[in-house]
Amino acid sequence: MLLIRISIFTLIITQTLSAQVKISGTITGSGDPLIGANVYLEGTYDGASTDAEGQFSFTTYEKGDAQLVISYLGFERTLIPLKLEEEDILLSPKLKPSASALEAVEITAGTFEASDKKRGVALSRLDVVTTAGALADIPSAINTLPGTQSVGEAGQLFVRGGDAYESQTFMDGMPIPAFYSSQVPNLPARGRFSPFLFSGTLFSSGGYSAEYGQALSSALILETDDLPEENRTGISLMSVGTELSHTQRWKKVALSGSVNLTSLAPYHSMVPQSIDFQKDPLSYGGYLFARAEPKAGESYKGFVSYAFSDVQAGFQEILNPESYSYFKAKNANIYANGSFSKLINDTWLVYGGVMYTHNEEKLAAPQGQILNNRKYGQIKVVSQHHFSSDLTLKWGMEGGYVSLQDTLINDLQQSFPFSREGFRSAAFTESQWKPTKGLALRAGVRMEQDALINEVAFAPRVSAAIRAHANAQVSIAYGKYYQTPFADWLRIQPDLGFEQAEHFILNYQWQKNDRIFRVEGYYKNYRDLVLFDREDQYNPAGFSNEGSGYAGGVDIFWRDRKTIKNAEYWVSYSFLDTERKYRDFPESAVPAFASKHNVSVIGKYFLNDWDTQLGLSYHVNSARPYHDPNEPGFLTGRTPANHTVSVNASYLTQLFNHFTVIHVSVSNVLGNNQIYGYRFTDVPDDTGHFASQPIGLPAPRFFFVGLFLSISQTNDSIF
Amino acid sequence: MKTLLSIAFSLTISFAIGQNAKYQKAMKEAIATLETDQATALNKFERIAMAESEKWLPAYYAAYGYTQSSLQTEGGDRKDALLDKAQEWLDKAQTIQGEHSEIHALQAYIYLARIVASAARGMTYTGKVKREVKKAQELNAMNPRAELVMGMLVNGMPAFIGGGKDNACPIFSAAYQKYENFTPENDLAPTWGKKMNEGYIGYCGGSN
Repeated sequence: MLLIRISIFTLIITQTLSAQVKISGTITGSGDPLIGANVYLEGTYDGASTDAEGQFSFTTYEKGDAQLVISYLGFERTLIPLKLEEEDILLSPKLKPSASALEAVEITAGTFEASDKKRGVALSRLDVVTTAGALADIPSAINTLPGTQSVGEAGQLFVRGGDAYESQTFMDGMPIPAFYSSQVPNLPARGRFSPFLFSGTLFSSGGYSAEYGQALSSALILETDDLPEENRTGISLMSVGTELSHTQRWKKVALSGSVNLTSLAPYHSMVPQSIDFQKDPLSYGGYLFARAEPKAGESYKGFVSYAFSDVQAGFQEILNPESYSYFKAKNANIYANGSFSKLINDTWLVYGGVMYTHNEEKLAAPQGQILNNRKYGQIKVVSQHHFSSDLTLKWGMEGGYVSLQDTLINDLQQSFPFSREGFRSAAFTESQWKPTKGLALRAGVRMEQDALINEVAFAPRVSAAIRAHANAQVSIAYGKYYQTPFADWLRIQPDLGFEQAEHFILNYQWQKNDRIFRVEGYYKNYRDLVLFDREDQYNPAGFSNEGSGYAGGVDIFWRDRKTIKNAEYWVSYSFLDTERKYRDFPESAVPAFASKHNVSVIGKYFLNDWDTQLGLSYHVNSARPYHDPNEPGFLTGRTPANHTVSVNASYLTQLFNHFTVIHVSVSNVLGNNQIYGYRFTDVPDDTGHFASQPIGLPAPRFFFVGLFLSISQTNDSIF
Repeated sequence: MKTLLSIAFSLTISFAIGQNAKYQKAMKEAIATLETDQATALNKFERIAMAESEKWLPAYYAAYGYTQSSLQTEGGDRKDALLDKAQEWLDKAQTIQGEHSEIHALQAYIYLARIVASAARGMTYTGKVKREVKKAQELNAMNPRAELVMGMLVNGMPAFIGGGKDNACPIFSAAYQKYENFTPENDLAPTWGKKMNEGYIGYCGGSN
């Protein structure tokens, strides 16, 4: 009884001893009243929300020192110390926009980023598989973005006046040294990996971070999926082959495996080709992929793949159309990639990985054979510190190993072995600071060392982004980029230095509600490019770093996912002005892969009533240079412009109660003649004329039909 | 001595009772305004959650409030920013409480809202929603909110993968039955979604 009396008594005392204090005021941010901001005393329930005028008012029994907290999404959480006594308190604080919150500017110079999590600016895997003409090939889909040149006979990425070898692809931060399948000359290669493996794509056409090296022109950064949601079996039956895959998910671990077989033999037996395939393109392979997330903030991935491909193709001889010159390409590739990321605490993240590649190629031409046996290994560790929401620092180190065991065999069956091996290392540090919501600054430096060529280089990289007006920003970037010379040249002359490029980029980007417009101007300065003797390409003495060049241009991109219901489209335009003296060029010239104008228009439309998505793509590139020995000068010939229209349709349905996609596509549906360049005879005829033949498509159109079946418990998607 | 001790003891008890009464009162007030003045309720839950770091329900309700705000706001980026906050609070609730059917049901709801923020995510997030609904139902087969979220997901899915109105309506009916039979664990336990479900029942063109 006494106890209860005392309790009531103490309760009354607590109540009566304290008089209420009223705290009120108006809260503004960026000049406007903030509606619905949360204002309260820390550690208590006492508080209020601001009304439509940004005003708040509440009372409290608290006494003494207290902290007033004001929180509102998009603004810095603000703390105001108060002394609570008898008097009411009136205050009108102004909130600062928070740097980390939404709409803080991001450095976008040179980069196109997309992932399933981020709201995509560029291409997600879904875009890759549904872009007409891309045939689910990552580089082909990236080729619809500005800054790329269409080089139909190569299939590789050529970025802003850079050769294909200047682009590097990365998987979970580790390079993929042999990203493209081997191919005979003038037939396009494909990217080795399926777009379904990756949930994030970052395509940088220049000015990229100090974390990435050994690429003069561009970095294509692919991130694999995290733990998949559930068990899933995928069956693909295509006109060109088949693929089976399975993913098993346990609580913290998932294991995936896949096998595939592609053969163009049945297709070629139905659709006539201008090339005589002694061996139709055949490839098979598979991968194993293990992923584990033992606890939050900790993730481990291990990926290993094997791929084999073989093709033997005969091209009509120019003067003797009845007979063919044969080319072979046989390739076996092992790629292993292990990566980890671990959050040590709230402000410290460590990540890294290991990579190993063994790529064996056998390339044969009438003039001889090349056997390439190349191994690459790399380890990398990066430490990333978030000192605050607006200041981060990362630094990292890489160690690598390269081994080239190539053999050249000439038409007299004499063999010339080349053996080169060496270690390389790199270290980088980079810091990003966002002093305000409208400004981001990034500066870094990368040290690149290569024992094979015995060189060390320092590459500074700086970039900044500043808000121009609502939804728009301007970014600038500058950077130096170094790359060890291409292996094909290094095997002949290892005493070469790094090739280097300098990038200057100015970018404007406007983005609002699923519409994005960007325009980017750039200038690239190439130095120390490898140059060799045109007449004697295997003479080590003919090699030097005396090449140079430049590339300048403007890239424009517009993507709209809003205006038309159930539809989206994007338009890319690239203007390129470039000249270089490298490889076997006797003088500075526009390289054969460079076209001045490239335009891509991609449209997709979903027919709800038919459960079908239709896709259309149109691509045009202006004249490409070729070397005509009948004309004076070097690379002075110009092909006609190439126009390509491709269409596709995906019908979504159920088969045996499982989600199924039936996909049909036709590349170059109008059958437009494509001329990528010309081949010439080695010797002139009696009149002194070199006869020629255009390089084009092996068949006017390419048809594709596929059925993709997905079996899972929840049975809802193809991923 | 004994008196002194008992006074000290009673002071502690009374403080604790007072605190708990205050907590109960504040929570009830906030829950009562959940449907009428959601923004104010959300701020209130957030204040309580900040002060009561040992209790999961205020954090849970803050997560729910942010999810609702996200669904009602315009613009994908803002929707996502609100969902980031919702996820933060739900993670906190999960840390405090551990496994709970309601936490999984709300997680499913947040994932559903991610699809609303960007339809392109449907492919990956549909699986996530279903997984969470399944977990919620494993922990409490009679949880009506898990059923409701499932219905909303199916309703938004295209017909060829088993979605659409015809497939969703039976789920809303099942949810209706579960709402009718649902008894919350206590006065503060989640009860949201009943009216929303009734809205869907109306849209399906039936009484239940």
